Amino acid sequence: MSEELSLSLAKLSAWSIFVPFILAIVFFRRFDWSQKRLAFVILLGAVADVMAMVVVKVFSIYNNLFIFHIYTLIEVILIGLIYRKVLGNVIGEKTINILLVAFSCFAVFSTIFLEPLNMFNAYTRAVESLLMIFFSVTFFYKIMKEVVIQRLEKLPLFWISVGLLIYFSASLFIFIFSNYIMPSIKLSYTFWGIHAILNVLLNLFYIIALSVNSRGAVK
Amino acid sequence: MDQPTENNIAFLLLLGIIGMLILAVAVILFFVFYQRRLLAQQEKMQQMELDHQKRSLAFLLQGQEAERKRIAQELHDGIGALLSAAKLYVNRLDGKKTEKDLNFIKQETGSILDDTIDNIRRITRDLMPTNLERFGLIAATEDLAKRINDLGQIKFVFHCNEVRRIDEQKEFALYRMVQELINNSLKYADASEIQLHMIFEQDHLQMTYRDDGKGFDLENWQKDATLQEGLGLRGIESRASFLGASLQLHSAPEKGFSLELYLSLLQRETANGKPSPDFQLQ
Repeated sequence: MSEELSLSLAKLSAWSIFVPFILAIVFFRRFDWSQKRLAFVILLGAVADVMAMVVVKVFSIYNNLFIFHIYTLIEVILIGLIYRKVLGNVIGEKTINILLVAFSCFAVFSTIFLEPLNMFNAYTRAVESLLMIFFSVTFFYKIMKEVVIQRLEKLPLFWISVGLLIYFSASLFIFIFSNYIMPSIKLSYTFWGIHAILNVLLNLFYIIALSVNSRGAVK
Repeated sequence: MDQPTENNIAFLLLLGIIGMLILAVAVILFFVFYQRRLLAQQEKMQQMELDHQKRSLAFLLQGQEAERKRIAQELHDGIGALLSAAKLYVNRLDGKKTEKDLNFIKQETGSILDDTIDNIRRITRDLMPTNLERFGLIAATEDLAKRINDLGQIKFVFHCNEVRRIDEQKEFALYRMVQELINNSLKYADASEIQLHMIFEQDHLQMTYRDDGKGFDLENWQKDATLQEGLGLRGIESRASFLGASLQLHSAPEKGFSLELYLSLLQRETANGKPSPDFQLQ
C-alpha cells in the first residue's frame, strides 16, 4: 500500500468517528439504553482522536501513543458495561466484573513493565481483542439460545456486536504482530492502512446501531 | 529486516487477517441463520399448541352440548312421561268415582310420583353428585365404586393413599374423567375388572386407570377422528389439557386399556409473554 493511500485511510479513519458522534449528540434522548452506552464509547473515540491531533499539532509532541493506553482501558470498561447488562444471566455479572478488573490490572501492569507510554500497547490491544470477541460471540450465543428476538436487524446490540467481532477478529493479528510491523515502513503503511479500513467499518456499524429503532425487535 | 522475511510476514499476516475476517463473518451468519431457524420452529410449535387448544375447546363444547341433549332426553322421556301418566290419573278424579277407584288412583299416582322423585334424584346425582360437592373427589369416587360393584357386572378396585380435598374445578374434571372411563369400560371394553389408583404426593396427583377389556388399536384410534368422538376419550384429553395435566394412554387389541395422568396441584402460573428482562430495550 502506498504512503499516500495509507495516510488518506488513516485520516478517513480518524474523521469517520465524527459521523456517529454527531448522530449520538443529536439523537441521544431518543436512544435506548444500549445506544446511550454506545454513545459514550463513540464520545471516547472522538475525544481520543481530537487529543491525538492536538498533541501533535498544538503541542508538537510527536509520540501520542500514551493516549491509546488510556483510550484502550476506558474503551474496554465502557463496552464491558454494555455487555454486563445483557450477558448477566449467561455468564454472570460477577464474571464480567472480574474480567474487567483483571483486564484493567493487566493494562496497568503492561504499561508499567512491558510497553511504556511511548510504545504501542500491543499486548493490551491483543487481550482487548480477545475479550471483545468473547463478549460478542457470547452475545450471539445468548440471542440464539433465548430465541426472543424477532427482528435482529432492529437490535442496536446486534450491530454493535457485528462491528466489534469483525473489527477485533481482523485486527487481532495486526495488534499481535505490531512489534514486527512497526519497524518496517512498508509493512506499517500496509497494515495500518488495513486497520484504518476496519476502523471505518466499525464506525459504519456504530452508525447503523445508532440509527435503528429497537421497538418491535423483541417478541 | 530483509525483503523476503518482510514479504513472508506480510503474506502470513494478510492471510491471518483474511482468515479471521472470514471466520467472524461465518460466525455471525451461523448465529443469525440458526436463530431464525429456531424462531421459525418455535413459532410452528406455538401454532400447533394453539391448534391443539382450539381442538380441545371445540371437543369440550361438543361434550357440553351432548350432555345437554342427554339431560333434555332424560327429562323428556323419563320425568315428562311419568308426569304425563300422573296427570292422566289426576284427570280421572271426579265426583262419580267410588272409594275403591279413588284408592286405586291415589295408589298409582303416588307410585308414579315416587318413580319421578327417584328419577330426578338419579339425574341430579349424575349431574352433580352430592358427595362430590360435599365430601370431595375421593368420597364421590368411593361411592361410585360401590355402586358399580353393587351392579355385579364388573369388579371395580379403587385405591387411594390419602383423602385430600383439592381445587373444586380439578375435582369435578377428574370425576367426569373417571365417569367417562368407566362408561367406556362398561360400554365398549367388555372388561371384567377395573382398577383405579389415585396417589397424592406433596404437589401433584398421579392417577392410574386400568381395565382388562378387549382394548383397541391406539395408533389407529389417534388417526381416526370419528373413533375419537365415539369413545369419548377425546373429551378426557380435552379435560386433561384444560387442567394442564399430562396424559398417557396405552392400549392394544386384547391387551386392555390403561391411562396415566399426572396433575400438578400447584396454582398454575399464567404466561405473561414478557421478554427476557435483559432485552427490555427502552
